[in-house]
Amino acid sequence: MQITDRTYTPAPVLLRTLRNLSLFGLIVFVAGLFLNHERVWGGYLMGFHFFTALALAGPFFLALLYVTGSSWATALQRIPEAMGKALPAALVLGVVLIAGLPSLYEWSHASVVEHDALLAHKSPYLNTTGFALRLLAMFAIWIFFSRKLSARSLSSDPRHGPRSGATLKLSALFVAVFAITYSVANFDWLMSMEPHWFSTIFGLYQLAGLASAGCAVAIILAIYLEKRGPLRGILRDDHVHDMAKLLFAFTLFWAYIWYCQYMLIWYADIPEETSYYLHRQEGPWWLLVRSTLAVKWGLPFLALLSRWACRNRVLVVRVAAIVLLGHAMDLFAQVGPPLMGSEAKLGIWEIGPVLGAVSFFFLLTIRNLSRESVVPAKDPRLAESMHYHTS
Amino acid sequence: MSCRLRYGAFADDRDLLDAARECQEKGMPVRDVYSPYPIHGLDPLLGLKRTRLPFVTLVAGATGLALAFWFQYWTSAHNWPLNVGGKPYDSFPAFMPVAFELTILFGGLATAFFLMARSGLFPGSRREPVHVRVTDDRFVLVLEHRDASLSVEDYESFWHRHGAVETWSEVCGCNR
Repeated sequence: MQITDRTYTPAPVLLRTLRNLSLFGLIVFVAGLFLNHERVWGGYLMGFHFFTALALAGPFFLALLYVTGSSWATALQRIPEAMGKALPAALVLGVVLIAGLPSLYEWSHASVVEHDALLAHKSPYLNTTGFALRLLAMFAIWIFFSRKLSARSLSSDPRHGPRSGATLKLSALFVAVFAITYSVANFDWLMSMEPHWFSTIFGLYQLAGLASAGCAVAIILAIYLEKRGPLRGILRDDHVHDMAKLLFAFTLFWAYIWYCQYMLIWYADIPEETSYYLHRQEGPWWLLVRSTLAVKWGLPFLALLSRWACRNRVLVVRVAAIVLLGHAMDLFAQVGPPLMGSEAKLGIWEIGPVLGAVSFFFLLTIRNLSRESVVPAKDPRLAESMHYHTS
Repeated sequence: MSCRLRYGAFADDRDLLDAARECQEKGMPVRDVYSPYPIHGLDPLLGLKRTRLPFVTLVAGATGLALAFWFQYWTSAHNWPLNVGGKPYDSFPAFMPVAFELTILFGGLATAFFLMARSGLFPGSRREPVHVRVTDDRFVLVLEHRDASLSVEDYESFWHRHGAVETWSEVCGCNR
């Protein structure tokens, strides 16, 4: 079968809706800066983190496909490529975040650090300049690799094509660099909200969250593109099945890492470690944490256990949407307690920025998808991908 | 009624797949296929139903999970309560790793044993491979020749057409 380029024109109503939701998020954020800046910065951090995780999932999946020599997903490869192209926008969101440091992190106040021996000890690393420099450095690395990786499938030069040794090396390097940089970034962005507490598995926990949320978005986009035309006749049941299996595995992995972190801290019962769960194991936060486990792991686990379920597009899309909801709940359970103490407050200041950021991500990704052929027609692995079987 | 088993060994799994497709189209009964690895797309051609093995895994895994929780509860909270670090006797988080492992152990072992028992592979059972290279790089298609309207020559041309590298036949044994 000869496959030619297939272009995709997004429905105007979809673009309009996403644009309005993004604008809504922006308006809530700007209004919040004047009306309730303590809470809106928390919401902004969640939105920024969600957005960055989804954008980073793009090059991460791309590198995994190259490293493992996978050809099954070649027909869908434009989706992670388009996701990665949202990274420069994430950088802009990150630069804005620097303005909100005083509302989010106690270590950013010199007066607090002065009277806190531990924070003073950590201050050569944990300070505003260091935070900003690390943020810029991480994004520079990620954007560099993301651009290089997505250029590979467009290259007609066999030495730099998708199956070349150079691509393999680049991807392997990125996977290693990414694991370290994403951990370091999350020590800054989320873990330092409670600067007396530490967890060595924290980076892996965030990585598991990123993979499950990114996989959910890729599934939603793939099935949407099939419905809208460009992937019709290309997306097979087998592709849906495999992506659903990946979603199942990533959410299970996320719950596994959650439990690893929780159980070791619970077992050892050392005050400097248990402080993290002290708020979270009480009242509304404990309800939120348990609901998050049910939504982000329990539901997908039960729903995707059977083979027929993984091949049912309607069901898989719904589960993917539930996983995204679970990811937002997970972020709230992490960002909320250090800002609000024992009282959980959920309102427009949290929902607005998160909803806006996710809509903005979808808006950018859908626009990027419409720029090039949705099917990588020149890729030598495409034929294999289109005859892919799984059982 | 006379019945012969016609064997054809292929060097390429795609040739075997084409041959199996023709068998399905013409209604030639296939007894079995031997291959060093699973061939994608073969199951529907042979009309194989999906395996029910996952149910064994599910039931055995659930049994392991329940047993592990019950046993840990019984030992640490009921039969011989021990104070470990001031934690409650019935500490659910501490039971989890063992319960997790036992789920996998029960599920895995039961699946393996059930599969072997179902395929007749147990200590003392003697099995000769249908072809000495079938565990390496040969793919063997076994047809049941019952239809009197088909001649030996028909089968020979069938094998030839699909590029079988070796063919032989034998009288049907008892139906397996």
